[in-house]
Amino acid sequence: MKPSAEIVKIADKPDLKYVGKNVTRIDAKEKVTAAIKYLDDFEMKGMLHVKLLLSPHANAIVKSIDSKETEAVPGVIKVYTWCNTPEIKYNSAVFYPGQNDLEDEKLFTDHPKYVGDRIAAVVADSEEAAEEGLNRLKVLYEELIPVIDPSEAVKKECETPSGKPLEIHLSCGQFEEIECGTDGLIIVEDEVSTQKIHHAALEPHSCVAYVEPGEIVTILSPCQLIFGVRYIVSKVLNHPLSKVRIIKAPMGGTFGGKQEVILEPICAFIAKDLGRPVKLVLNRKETIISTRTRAATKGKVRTIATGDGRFVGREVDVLTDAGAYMTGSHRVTTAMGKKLFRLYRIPSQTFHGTTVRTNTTPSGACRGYGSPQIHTITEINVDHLAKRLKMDPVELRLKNLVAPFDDDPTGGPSLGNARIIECVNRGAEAFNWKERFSFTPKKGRYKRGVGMACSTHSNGYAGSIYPDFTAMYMRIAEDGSVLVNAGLHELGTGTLTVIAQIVAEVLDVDINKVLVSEGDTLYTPYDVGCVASRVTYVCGSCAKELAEAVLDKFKRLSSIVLEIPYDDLQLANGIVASVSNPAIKLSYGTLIARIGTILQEEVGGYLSYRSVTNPGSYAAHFVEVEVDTLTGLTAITDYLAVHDVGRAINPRMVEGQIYGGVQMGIGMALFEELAYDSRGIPQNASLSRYHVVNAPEMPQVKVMLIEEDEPTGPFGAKSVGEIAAVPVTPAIVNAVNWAIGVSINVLPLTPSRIISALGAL
Amino acid sequence: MSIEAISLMPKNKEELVKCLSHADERTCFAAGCTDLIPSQSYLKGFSAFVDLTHVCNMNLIEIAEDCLVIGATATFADIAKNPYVQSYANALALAASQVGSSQIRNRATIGGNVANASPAADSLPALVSLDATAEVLGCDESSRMIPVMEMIKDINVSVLRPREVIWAFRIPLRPHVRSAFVKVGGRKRVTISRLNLAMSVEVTRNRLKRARIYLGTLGPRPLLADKACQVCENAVLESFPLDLFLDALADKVDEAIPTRPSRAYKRVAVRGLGQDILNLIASWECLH
Repeated sequence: MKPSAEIVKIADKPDLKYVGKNVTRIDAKEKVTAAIKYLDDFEMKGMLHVKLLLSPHANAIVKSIDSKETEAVPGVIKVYTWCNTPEIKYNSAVFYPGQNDLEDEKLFTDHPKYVGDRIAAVVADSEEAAEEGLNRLKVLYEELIPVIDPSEAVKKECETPSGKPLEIHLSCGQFEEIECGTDGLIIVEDEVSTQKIHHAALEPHSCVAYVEPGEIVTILSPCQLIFGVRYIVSKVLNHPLSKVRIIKAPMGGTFGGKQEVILEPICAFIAKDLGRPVKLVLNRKETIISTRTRAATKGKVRTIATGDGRFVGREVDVLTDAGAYMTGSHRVTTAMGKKLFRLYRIPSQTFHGTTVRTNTTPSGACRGYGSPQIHTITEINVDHLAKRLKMDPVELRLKNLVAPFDDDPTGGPSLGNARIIECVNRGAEAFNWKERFSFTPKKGRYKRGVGMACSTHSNGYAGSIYPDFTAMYMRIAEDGSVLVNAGLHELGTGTLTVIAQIVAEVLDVDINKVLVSEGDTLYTPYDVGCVASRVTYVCGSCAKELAEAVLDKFKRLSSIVLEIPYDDLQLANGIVASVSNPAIKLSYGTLIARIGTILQEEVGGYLSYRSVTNPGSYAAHFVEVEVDTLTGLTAITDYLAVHDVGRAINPRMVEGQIYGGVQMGIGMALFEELAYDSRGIPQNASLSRYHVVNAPEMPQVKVMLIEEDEPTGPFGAKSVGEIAAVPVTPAIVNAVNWAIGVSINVLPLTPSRIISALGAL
Repeated sequence: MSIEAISLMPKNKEELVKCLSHADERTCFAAGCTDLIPSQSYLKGFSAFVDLTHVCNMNLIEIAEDCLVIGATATFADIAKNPYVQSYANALALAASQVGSSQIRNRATIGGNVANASPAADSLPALVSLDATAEVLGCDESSRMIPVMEMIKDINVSVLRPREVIWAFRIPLRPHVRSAFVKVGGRKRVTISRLNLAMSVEVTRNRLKRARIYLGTLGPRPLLADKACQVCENAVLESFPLDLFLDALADKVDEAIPTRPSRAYKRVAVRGLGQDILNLIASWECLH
């Protein structure tokens, strides 16, 4: 979509009351005062507790399970295995009919394929009894040899026709026809490995299920796609969609870890089978080993450029480790490929992605959905090229970055008002990049250096094969308050507040009078879910358009009731007034009641909204590191994150997203890795062994927002939730490589990897 | 803890001795519980749980005759900020200040750290470098004195018998002694030591004597860096043979873990720790 002359920059509108303001989160008080009850605190009369038997082996056949002693434990109600539960296979990422991802997962298995695979469940009337029952299960395994390395898995899976790795090809131009060596073209190649990462949400995975009258199987889940959960549960239980009710429960973080369907079908089946409420809450170890991870990747990049730094072509080959089940991993691979064509102008480019299964924890969604991996792979390569060309990495990028309203060369949606060049220019100036960047390491034990990286991310699914629609009801009540009835998911990111800001702005009512619901499949209209950085852009657009329609309807009905011309009415500050007759002033509530009485009509509306495009969000991050060349410890000593967000609906919450994204990205760069030994045993399934970035490691993150309005976004807004975590890792890796003069390309940059690289110099 | 387990909360030494006399192999004596709870071993059925945190005087830190006495239930937070410890056993103060997180340091006790006998325990090399002795209380109110080095039988196994607890640690007060502790883990803070190093040494007119230098994490017990100690003997701070000292430390790592994959990293990292600990020793007067 090209820019329109009618676009009015939000900054030019002085009368905005809520959009662009640091409105306090509407759920702040409940969270701060612990009024919100997370599922672990949730109790129901007669509730049963479930504990899962997770495989201790990465690849094994269960020869037998003896549950006699378990069933004798006082309080134990029943033991479930693959023998007495549905055999139906499903893919935990599928959320709508017609999606044909490989279905290879069941509720329970007699052939566990990773340490943490579900073999059985013990249900008891207390957690202690369930635990005791679990301890008394006697299981006989026949161990098989596991495959941990994805490269090895490619060879193995190729040997079995049913288990072939999945592949994806994307391209533009004619990469194969680029003649190298004849006209001074430079080729730079890299191989980069990124690691498996645990999401580390504060709240572990949990679920409650019970059956309501009418055989309605009801599930409380802190999930990201209530309708996706409904779809899988309905399929596995063979129960009508209309009788599967999913209620979004309060959530203590997800970062993609709770995007796929994991515990819900188990709880639903048990609750339906026993006719009693059941609760299943994983502990930290179980959450680490048995749920989902960020997919590990191995990427090969070959970039061809002119001697003056113009990208001519690029070839990228990525191998994604899906873990034990295919899950959404191939979607992640595909998403990685798509990002490649939307950051730099590269005339010819090919992407080949392969997704393969290994005997490790299944991969899946994780903040950025492949973006952190692919940008790490390619942005390290860009700095490598800068080194070869002896060109400042910022200068090199500026020669090649996309411009506003460029097309996607693969035919995808327009990049929209893509302001990455502005991010880089303004960021470099604020960071004093030119003075700080150095091609050569400094002397001394502690070496400082700077690095940067660029990235792009999506605003929903439009342009892909996945549906990207949402629907809402909106009503103004007789007291002038507004109810927005939507299938939203508050993940802790401020979604409900953002939607309330948009609605309050359009209707011009006190934001405290706007109530925005979370999702309940029985009562709220359809929404794809809180995924793909789509909520502010897609759901926010729906809320804005619907609010405008409701406002128009309100004005029309007011005109009839008050017998005042439509154009003479002004709706502002919760008051309906006549422009020509200042004496006529009625509150929204009064007028709503009058409309109800006289016209017998509700003032509200319903909108099913389809997203038609998918502009890019952009970011450039600048970082200074200090590396101790003896202990290998790296400290982040300065950090600047520059983001093209179109328009910040709530700047403070945008900054919060960015701080969190930087925290996750530092972890990926320096600390976090879910590692396995050769037998597939996780080596650090606890937070004392699995290091996330804690407060002493966090730098002061400076944030700069580029707000140039995306014409297709609500009030100009674009996404920030995922992209905030994307450029961090490559910026840090680049900074470390420049600081100490190495080329580390295996993540994370642990002290031992840094010392090893220095030793190889 | 099993449901039928009894909980006891002795208020003084006499009551504690009574608890000891009734204890069996399934009795759990604990204070901070910072190792116990994450291990979930409390779920495995203790017959009794004895909470040591209310025993009067068991957490005292005081000077007694020619020793610094540190009660076994003194928390790391107490130890890190105690002026006596900072003055007479700075290695221990520094180690205590780097154990776990603030929350852990407010709960975890030095007695528990030693009794748990983790090879990565930060207090162990510090205590050993300071020549500390553990006072172990038995069920008949008798005490036996055990050098801290001898408290450790194997990885996570101490020499404590079922009816014994550590009552206190005694660190001899020696004139002119300076001490320090440094560590490196996966990150700066709240991290388990990959390698730690403690040193105590007598310094008179900038000349070093009787250095006791111990490396942690390389085996079940702290390891004496004997050659590094020899390098220090009679050395003068202004002309300290730093390279020889660091080489000696690296050689000790090679000797201790010749086949471990972590050797390549630790033999370099120990040079960083060596530099840091000498800086702390040399800047002692500035710091104190």
